[in-house]
Amino acid sequence: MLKNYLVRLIIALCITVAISYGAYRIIFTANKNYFNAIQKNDFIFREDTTQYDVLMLGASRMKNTLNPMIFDSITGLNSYNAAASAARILEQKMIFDAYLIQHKAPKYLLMTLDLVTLQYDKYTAYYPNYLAYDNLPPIKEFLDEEGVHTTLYRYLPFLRIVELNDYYKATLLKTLTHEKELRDGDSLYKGYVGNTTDTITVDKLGHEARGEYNDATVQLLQGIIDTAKKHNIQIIFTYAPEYKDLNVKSVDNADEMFALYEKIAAKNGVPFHRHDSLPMCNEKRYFANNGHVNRIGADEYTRIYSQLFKEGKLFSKQ
Amino acid sequence: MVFNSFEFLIFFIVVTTLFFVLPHKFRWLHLLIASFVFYMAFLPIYVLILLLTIIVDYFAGIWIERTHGKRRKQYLVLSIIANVGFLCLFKYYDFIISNLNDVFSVHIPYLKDLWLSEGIIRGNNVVNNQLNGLLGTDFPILEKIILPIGLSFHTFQAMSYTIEVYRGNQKAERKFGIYALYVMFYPQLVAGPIERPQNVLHQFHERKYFSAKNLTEGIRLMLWGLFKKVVIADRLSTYIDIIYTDPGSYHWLNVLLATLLFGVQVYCDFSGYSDMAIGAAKTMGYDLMTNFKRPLFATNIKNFWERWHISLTSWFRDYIYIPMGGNRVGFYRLLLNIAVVFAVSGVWHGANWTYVLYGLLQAFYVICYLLFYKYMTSKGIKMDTLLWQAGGWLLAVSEITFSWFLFRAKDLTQSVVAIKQVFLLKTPQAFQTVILASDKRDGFGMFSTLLVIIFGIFMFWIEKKYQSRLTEFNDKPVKDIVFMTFIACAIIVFGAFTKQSFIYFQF
Repeated sequence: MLKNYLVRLIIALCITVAISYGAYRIIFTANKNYFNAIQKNDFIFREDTTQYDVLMLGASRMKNTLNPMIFDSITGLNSYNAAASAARILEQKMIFDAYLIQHKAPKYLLMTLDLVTLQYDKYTAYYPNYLAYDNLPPIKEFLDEEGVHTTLYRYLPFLRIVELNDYYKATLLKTLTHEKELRDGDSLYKGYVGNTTDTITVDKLGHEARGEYNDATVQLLQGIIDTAKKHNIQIIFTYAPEYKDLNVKSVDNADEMFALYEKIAAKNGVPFHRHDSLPMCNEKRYFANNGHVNRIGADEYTRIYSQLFKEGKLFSKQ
Repeated sequence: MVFNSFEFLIFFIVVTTLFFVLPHKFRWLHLLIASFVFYMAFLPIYVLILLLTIIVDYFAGIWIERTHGKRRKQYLVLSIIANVGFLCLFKYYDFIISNLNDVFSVHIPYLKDLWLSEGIIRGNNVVNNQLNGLLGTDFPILEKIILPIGLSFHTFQAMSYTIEVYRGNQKAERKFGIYALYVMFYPQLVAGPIERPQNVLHQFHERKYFSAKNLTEGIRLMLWGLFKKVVIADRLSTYIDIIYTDPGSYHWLNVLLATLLFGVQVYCDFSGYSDMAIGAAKTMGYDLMTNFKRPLFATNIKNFWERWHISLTSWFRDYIYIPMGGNRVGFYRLLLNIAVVFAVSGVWHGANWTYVLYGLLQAFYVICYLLFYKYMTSKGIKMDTLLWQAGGWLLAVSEITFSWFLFRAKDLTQSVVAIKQVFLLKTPQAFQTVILASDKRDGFGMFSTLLVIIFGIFMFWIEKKYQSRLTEFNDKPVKDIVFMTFIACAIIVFGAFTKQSFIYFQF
């Protein structure tokens, strides 16, 4: 029977599907164990009845910056840090929309805007993290935008493996040694990830960059604002602290980007606060690098921010 | 639509299934339409250029056959001028003009400044905007002219037709659709093998019956080609591309390793594509020529070129080398012929001095080998012992690796930097065992290294043990199932689907 070529092909196909499916389950389970809910915010995409009053959104300058533990203790609210490292506006909108499907709407949305937030990156660095949640429409749309074949994967889920690069596949080996992405000593609390305790040693400008945006990305930000308004969510935009404006100075059209954010904020009645001139911004001890506070800086800034929030000063326009 | 994409998988299944469902008389039309769709998936408007050359060559073939005397040659020249003309315009014009402008301090306009170029760009953008709006596709909007995909391949294939008709080795094809299919047959349209009319044209007239054996041989070969491409070549490209972004900033050993591995990458990439092309054709019963015969096992440089990109080297042999006299001339004229052929072969690859030097370097290698062989033969020394073979293999690998410095670098300056880095043993930084992105979530880590070693050894073992078409598996059903299952699983589980195009698409 095996001499029959069609039989060979069918047997090979069946065994391939079986092995690939097994590999898919193993690798994705390993991914889930390894990434221990930091970058992929998987809590956000699972249905939950917990009512969060405050949702924090942004990239790493939110993820490593506002600590819900301190924020909650000062404001008396229940917050969650849903930021995702390196997330641009497309990904941030996806997270926000997906959150609202699975959870009750928060009262407040605290969002950091960086000079590169409105950059339209076709390729998002960490999108494989979202593959397991493509049943949620915002995530499916986001992945489709990334060129991921979500419809095909719905019927042949094991093919999701092809979206993973070696870093993600290697987690299988890492989990064999019980390694997790979150190292011992890192703090993780309701989505917030504590940065290093290292500080800047030398003042120097960062790599030259340019803030990019287009109509589509501006619309995405407007989309977040519109959705928030529809759910009666109050929004606050901030530009997070940085060390001595060295980040701003390395972006040649920083003024243009800030003007754009101010214009969007004013048009929508959303307060926009620049926190890159706070006194703490002149102290190296609070910063891991030009653009990111370290753990001590995060605690300090969260205290400042929370106090301003509690006193209502963040709700007025700058 | 690249071969390593889901879009191509669906395309292939649909086209092959319909091929056997349709009556024989409609199959040529079906394949032609499929080939149009395949080509237009890259850039629709360029199909007009392809059609123009097809029309010229179709009529040239008929007129060559019908006429006698000087007229025959004129039609042949017309065909060659049309094909070479398009090739030179799109591929070499800017390179030639740039050198003329530099040498003679003139200001001859570049391609982008010509009205033709503006017309093509405008036409393309109008068409693509409409298509993108209607079909939701993502055809590129051009700001400058880009090289039509597969131009170097299909023009050579077209020229071989008119030349063979002229020589009387091939009857002119009377059916326009069949001739168009000969040029546009999708498996080999964009990156070869560069076929000969004697091999392929008659096949498009033959009735093809469904054969499970052909289907299996074809799928097996396609899987093997895809394995080489996505498991080995694209994984290696991560490492090599990082080093060659700035070879001057890496340890000499990193640069040497990247250059050496580039040889493996380009072999797996190109032979992988050829295997997929040959396999796709085989599923429908069409036999295309072999393009690679395990060149990495060649024991001397001459042997390497008899095994590497065979369709191109044989084209140059038959249409340039032999008309120049081939082997039937004196020894030193023979060496000149070889130099010319390899120089032209280098230029075929691209409009850059690196490719010219690459070609001349190959000529130098082969000439040295022939002189050495002549000397050894005159002394009665046989070079077929294991020691000679091993030494010859090592020398061939070294020669080829050195030429990759020219082939891989983006320009002459970068190739000089890379060569200096290695030969002067420069160490601007420590040797990097792994090369990772700044966030460590991408790059070439220990896991990638492990996979390359395991699958690389597997690839070499299979290539050593089996012939290039892997037909030995036909009589070994259990091994066949294990082999196909193994490589299919390797593709799905370990394939680096970075959506990288094939290297030879750029030629």
